[in-house]
Amino acid sequence: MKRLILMLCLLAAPVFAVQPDEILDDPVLEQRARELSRGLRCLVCRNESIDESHAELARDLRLLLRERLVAGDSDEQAIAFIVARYGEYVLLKPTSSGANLLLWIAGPGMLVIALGIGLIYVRRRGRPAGPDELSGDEQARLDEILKP
Amino acid sequence: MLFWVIAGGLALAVGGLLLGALLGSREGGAPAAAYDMQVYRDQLAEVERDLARGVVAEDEAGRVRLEVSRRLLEADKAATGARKPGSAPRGLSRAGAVAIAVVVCGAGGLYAWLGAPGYPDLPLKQRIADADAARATRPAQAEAEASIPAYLPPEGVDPKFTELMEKLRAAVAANPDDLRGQQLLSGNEARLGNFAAAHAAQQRVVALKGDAVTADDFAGYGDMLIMAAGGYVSPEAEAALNRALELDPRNGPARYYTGLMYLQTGRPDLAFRIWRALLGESRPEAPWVPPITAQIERVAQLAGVRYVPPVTGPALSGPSSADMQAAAEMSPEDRQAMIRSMVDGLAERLASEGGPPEEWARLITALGVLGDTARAGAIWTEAQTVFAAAPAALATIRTAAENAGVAN
Amino acid sequence: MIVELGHFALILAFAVAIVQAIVPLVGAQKGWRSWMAVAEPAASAQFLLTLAAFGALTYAFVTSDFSVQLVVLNSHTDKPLLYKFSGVWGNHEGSMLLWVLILTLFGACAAWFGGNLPPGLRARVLSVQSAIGVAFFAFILFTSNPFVRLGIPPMNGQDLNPLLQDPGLAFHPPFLYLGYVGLSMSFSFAVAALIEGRVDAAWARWVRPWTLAAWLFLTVGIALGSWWAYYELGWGGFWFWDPVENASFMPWLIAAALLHSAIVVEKREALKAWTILLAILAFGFSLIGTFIVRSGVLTSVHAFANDPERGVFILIILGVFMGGALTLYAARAGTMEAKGVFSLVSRESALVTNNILLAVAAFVVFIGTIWPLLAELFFDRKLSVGAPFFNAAFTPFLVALAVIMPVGAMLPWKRARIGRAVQPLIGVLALALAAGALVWTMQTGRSILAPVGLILVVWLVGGAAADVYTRTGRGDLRSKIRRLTTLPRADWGKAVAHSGLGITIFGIAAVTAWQQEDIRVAQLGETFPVGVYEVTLNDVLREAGPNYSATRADMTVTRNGRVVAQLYPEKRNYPVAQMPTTEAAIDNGFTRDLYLVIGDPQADGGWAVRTYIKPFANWIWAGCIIMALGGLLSLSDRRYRVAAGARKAVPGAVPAE
Repeated sequence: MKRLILMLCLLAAPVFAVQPDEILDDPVLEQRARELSRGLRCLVCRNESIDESHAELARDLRLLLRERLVAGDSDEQAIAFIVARYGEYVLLKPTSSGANLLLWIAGPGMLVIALGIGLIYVRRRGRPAGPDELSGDEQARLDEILKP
Repeated sequence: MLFWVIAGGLALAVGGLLLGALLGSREGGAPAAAYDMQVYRDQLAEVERDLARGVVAEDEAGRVRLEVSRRLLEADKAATGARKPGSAPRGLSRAGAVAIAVVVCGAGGLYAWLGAPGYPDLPLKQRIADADAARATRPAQAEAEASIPAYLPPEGVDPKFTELMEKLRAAVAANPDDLRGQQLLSGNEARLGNFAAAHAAQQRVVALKGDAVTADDFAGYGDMLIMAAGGYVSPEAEAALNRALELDPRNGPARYYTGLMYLQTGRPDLAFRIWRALLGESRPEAPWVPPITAQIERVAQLAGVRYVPPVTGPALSGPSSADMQAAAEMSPEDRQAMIRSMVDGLAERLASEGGPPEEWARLITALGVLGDTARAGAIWTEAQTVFAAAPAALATIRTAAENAGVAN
Repeated sequence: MIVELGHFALILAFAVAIVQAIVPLVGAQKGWRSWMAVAEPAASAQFLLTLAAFGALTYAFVTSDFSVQLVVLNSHTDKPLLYKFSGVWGNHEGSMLLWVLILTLFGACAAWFGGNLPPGLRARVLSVQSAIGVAFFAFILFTSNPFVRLGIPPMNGQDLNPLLQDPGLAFHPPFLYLGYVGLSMSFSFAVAALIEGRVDAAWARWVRPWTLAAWLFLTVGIALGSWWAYYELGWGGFWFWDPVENASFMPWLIAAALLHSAIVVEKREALKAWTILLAILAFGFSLIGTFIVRSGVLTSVHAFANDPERGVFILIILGVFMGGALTLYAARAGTMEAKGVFSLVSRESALVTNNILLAVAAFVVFIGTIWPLLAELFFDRKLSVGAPFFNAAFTPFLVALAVIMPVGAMLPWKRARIGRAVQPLIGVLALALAAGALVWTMQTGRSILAPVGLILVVWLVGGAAADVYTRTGRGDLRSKIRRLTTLPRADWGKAVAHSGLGITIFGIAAVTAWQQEDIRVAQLGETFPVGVYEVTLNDVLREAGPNYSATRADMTVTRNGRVVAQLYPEKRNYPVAQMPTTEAAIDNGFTRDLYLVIGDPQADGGWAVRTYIKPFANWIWAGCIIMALGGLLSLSDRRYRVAAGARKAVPGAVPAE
């Protein structure tokens, strides 16, 4: 039920994800293209990478990416080229610049804080308990309670 | 009525259940700590069981035992001092009971607002069975004719014609087995609007023709019966139509009226199926086309089928199913506007970016359908220059232009 | 009449829910027995009435009663019977009705089996549960009423969505809902304890099985959804880190934390406040999940119900319940005194670490999910957070969790000596590292993913086995085996569930690292090699299905000349719905899946063909099922049956065994 739109998107243009005719002859270059396209978002499909997407636009982006690679761009240059054209929205893995730093350090930061609190808590629980034996009175009362 | 009895009973039962609990006298009960003690007892027993099973070591068991015992003693202390649950003051409980009764009655009110009381279930099978039953027991031809005003000869008819008719009637009455006479009579009575007389004559025609009888004879007979009954398709008319269809399953009038019969007897789905097929096969000037086009969208709705009336000529590419669905729900003006905007979009695209000849052909066809021949002509002229070097492409477009009536 | 009676029953259930939300709570606060006693019949009545309403709607679907608007919009006479049933919840209104049905079912269970709960606690729990019910009944009746009737019913319905007619997708929502709503029970217990200001000894014994059940259903629900994506989307993806997936994953993580921390509350009476917080958060995330699905606020590939009005309503529900519960928590949590004492090295500490990792992992998923929203609101940046982020940010937590799991599972309560506890694990560790090293040397370079996955699976499964083995104690083999059979089911459950996690981790690692892919244009009759297999495209036929036309390829997969599988991938087109779908052909195997997809015809007469070899793909879902089975085993443990009140215990009257 919940994947409807994904499917609709997939249906809008019934082409496939990476097409045979897109594949570059140079396997190394192709491998790089595949890696990079996994990190780029299909703008019309939402939350699908262009590598997975079946949409027409994703195909255009794939071809564009390959063009840049064939033209001799490095990975960074190719990505920068696409980001310059389509905006940072196209990156599935957000950069760590500016406010995004918050996103990236949120997890590790929270872990450190949580471990700190956890450690303090556990240490506090470590204080010695009462005597290791029940007193005579206590034992007597216990027996009374447990008497069937 | 039965519905309200059951609903009322349900509400009473539920209300009674709640009030019974509220007003019933329940005394005593242990404080929460007593329940805790029970849990700790269970835990102690568990330790012993685990020990016996050998899944815990003796020293660990001892530690757990000690800890649980401490908790048990603590709970015991708490239990002796704890306040036991009491009972509510009577007055308050009564007030509470009234409030509960009000809330439950409120449910009835809310239902009366939100629900459709008395609306029976309508499972499809039952609806079909009901429709069949209604069809089987529907009024006969005579009954239907009796219920509409008696025939009055139209005014302003040429007296000569009236005189001729009188003669014809007399002649046919004198010689009822005269096929030619009956044929003449039925046709002319129908022209005068005297359908009762017309179908009587047509009945004779059908009988007299014997094996030579045609589908059109039966269809005409059915037509007259239906007209005589004020548009109602009686069982007799249906029989006539069926005979017509036996002779010629593609008979237009018979199919139209059969569809009408299904529409009248609660089977719009069958009516739609028949009419859509008929519409698809008919020439636009066929007499049944206007009544069908006027009604088919409503019938489609009743049948629960998404239906967009066919556009003559090839359909435009591009509209998604969502567009089509939206179009189906639009008013005719809106739909026209939508089609127009799509056509404009195509024209703009072709003007700025160009496109394959098929798209040019489609644009010209679409404009032709919309009746915009001036623009269609202009586009055709432009295409001739654009595709001057490509005769094959031009041929495609020329066909479209010819169909649209703009090719020179 | 049945449909209208269903509608009336639903409204009556709403009224009963209002009564149940107020009267027992007042009774519990004032100590009035009779007022508290209203809760039980009310809970039963509420459930039965909702069941009647659900039954009436189902009846309308099954009999194709097109006077009900919902049936018109979501059914069709040609639909197979199974999908007429699943059509009931295959839409917004019906799924919300299923939601409250499950909610009231859980409430009724607490009433039926809660005989040995302190009356005050039970009354408060049922009141809180019913308050949630009131909110959702109102939501259904006023914004999404499934019983709206049509004056002029058409003769057929509109929807025959081919994609909803799939077993994986038909049962994915009910399981997820069982999980989401199951967490409402933990929430009700938490809030009840906060209202009362004390955590009863019976509290954790109750919260744990409920959480376990909810977690188990969530596990199955998530696995079903992922499995569906795997076979239906045409390239074998199984997890997208989509907001809606995350929405089900966050409650799963929190529920996993909760069911571990509840053990500490039960056994050691420590971590009470924390456990209560987790219970509140777990349900909070369930509500957020419902909100995300229903509102489409985070534009997601899934959010098809873009309906702001309903979204706002659920947001209000979320605000009231979370805001209320957290305020109550802030005011009362301090009074939850902890009793248990334990040292730094102990089972308790290990479980605290487990909770920290799970909770922070859930936090990471949460912040990644809402970050695009935050960035747009506060920093005016439109950006995406997708799979690469989550893979990078989440995976370390999962690995850390897997690393400490076997050790933590073997530590004794209270205080432990690390050396003695891990002794039985040394062999397992050596084995795991050896297996990892072996794979590392054997595979052709690149990824460390697969070796790590293998190390973890050996470590987890071996650790679970070592744990079970040590629990059999000393002695000869026979007595060990005897003890093995008498080992509490909870212990078995733990071992099985932990192993399941290892298997899932391995499946994910293996399929990600070792997947082989081949995309090409194949001519008819052409044979091409993919990995160790040879694939032949024998023929491509056009076929007509009942309501679709298909392009069906006939393909043979051989290995060294021996036929491995005959597969028929299809591309279907549903003309009525105007929907093409891909039907991948999969040869499921223990060590690999062969996954074939047929694409478009090419200009030169060939066909686009995609072949994947997905090693150990099935292990992903097998692991999930094993995890769920572990949960089930644990749930069937005797103690919970006792706790669930299989016998009505009157305190002080029934002797402990």
